[in-house]
Amino acid sequence: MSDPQEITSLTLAGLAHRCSEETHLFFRRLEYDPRYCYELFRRAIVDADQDAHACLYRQYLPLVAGWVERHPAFRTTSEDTDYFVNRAFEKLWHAITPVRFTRFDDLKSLLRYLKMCTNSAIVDFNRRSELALIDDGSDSDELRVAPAPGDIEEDTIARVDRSQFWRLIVERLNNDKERAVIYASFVLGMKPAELLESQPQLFDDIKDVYRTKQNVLERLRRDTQLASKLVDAA
Amino acid sequence: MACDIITHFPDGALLMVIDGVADPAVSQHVAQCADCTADLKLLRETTTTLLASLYRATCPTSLQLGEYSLGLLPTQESTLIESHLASCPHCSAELGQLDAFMAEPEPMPAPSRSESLAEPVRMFIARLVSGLNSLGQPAITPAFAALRGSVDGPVTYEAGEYRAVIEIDEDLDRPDQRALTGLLIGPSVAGVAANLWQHGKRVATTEVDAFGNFELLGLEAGDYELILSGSGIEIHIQSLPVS
Repeated sequence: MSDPQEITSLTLAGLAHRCSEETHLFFRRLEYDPRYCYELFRRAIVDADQDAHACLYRQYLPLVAGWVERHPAFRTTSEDTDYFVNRAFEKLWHAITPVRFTRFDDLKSLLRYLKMCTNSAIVDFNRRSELALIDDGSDSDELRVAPAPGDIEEDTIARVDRSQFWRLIVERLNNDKERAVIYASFVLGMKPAELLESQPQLFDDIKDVYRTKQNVLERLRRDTQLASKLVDAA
Repeated sequence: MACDIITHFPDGALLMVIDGVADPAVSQHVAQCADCTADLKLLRETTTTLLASLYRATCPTSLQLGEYSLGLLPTQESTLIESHLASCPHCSAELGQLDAFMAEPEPMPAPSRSESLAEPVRMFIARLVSGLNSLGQPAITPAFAALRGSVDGPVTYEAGEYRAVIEIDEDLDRPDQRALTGLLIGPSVAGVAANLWQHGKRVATTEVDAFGNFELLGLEAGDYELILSGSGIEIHIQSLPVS
C-alpha cells in the first residue's frame, strides 16, 4: 500500500499493526515505511484519539525505556524507568498541540522530540532534587533524593513564583557588582571564590565579594516588603 | 548587631564564617559571642531562604532548552536563551548533555541475511464475499469449526488471490465466550500470523497451520479486526463482529 489516502482509510488497529511491523523493520535497519506511525501520531494529536494515544504508548514504550536507561543522568536518580517514560509521554502530549503538529512533517522529527522529552523528564527530576537538597540545607554533592512529585502545572506555578521573586530582588540592587554577587550566589548557587574567578574585573579581592554580599543581605533584610516574602518563602 | 567586637573585623566576616573561610580569630570570637551567634543564625537562614527561592529562577525550562537545541524556538526566544547560556553553567551543562544524548545512535541489531532479502509486504483490505454459497450451504468450513456448534458463519472474505473463511463458535471450554475459527486459502499460508485487534490493541494471536487453519479462543462479544500477516502479505479484515 503506497497511496496516502489508503493509509488514512486504515482502521486504528490496522494502523497500529502496520506501525508495529514497520518499527520492527526500522530496528533491523531494513527499509521501512514511516508513514503508518506518523499517521498514528496524527490521529492521537490532531484527532485527539485516546486509543491512538494508547497505541503509541505501547508501540514506543520499549524505545523510550531504552532511552531512559541509557541517559547518563538516569543513574543518579532514585526513580524507576516507567516514571520517566510516563513523564516523557506527558510532555509530548502537552507540548505538541494540533496546531503545532503541522511543524512536524515526518516521523523522525516526532521521535526526536519524544527523545528530547525523555531528556527533559530526567532533567526536571534532577532540578527538583537539587532544590529539595537546598531546602534541606544539605550538600549538593549528596545523592539525589526523590523530590516531591511535580506535574507540569505545579512546575509552571513554582517557576513563575521564583521568577517574580527574582524581579523583586533585582529592583533593589544598585549596581553591576551587587547584581553579579546576588545572581551568582543565589540564582547560580556559586561560592564567592568562584564568582571572583569568573568575573575578576568587578572585584578587588575575595573580601570585596563577601563585603558586597553581606551589605546587600543586610539591606534586603531591612526591606519591609521583602522581609514578609522572605518569611513566607522560609 | 549588639556586639561591638565584630565591627573591628571586615564587612562580610560573618559570611566568611558560614563558608568556613574566615580568619580563625573571627571564628573563635563568633563561637563565643551570643550576639554574633544569633546574627550568624539569622544570616544563615536568610542565605538559605534566598538560595531556595531563587536557585535557577531565570533558567529556561528543560523543554525550552530542548526546543532550543532542536531549533524549534522563534528567533527572539532563541536569542534570549543564547544570552542566558553565556552566563549559566547549569544550563550549559544540561545543553551539552542533551546534545550528546540526542547524537547517540539508536541501538539497532545488525540485519540477518534472510531479513536483508525480505520482500516488501503487499497489503489488502479484505472484502466480504458471502456467508453462504449459491445452494444456501457454507461453501467451505474451517477444520476446527467442524468440532464445534456454529454460532455465526461461515463467512468468506476475499483479498487479492487469498480467501479467508471465518466462523464464530461457542468456546467449548468457556461456554460464555466465543471461539473464532478460520481457514486461509492462497498461494502461501503456512506461518502466517493471525492477529485479533480491538480498540487499537492486539488481544489475541496465533499461527496459521500448513493447511491454512487457525483458531482464536476465549473471545468476549464485540467488534474485532483480524489481521493476517506473513509471507509478504497482510490481509486486514476490518470489521469482524463476534456476537
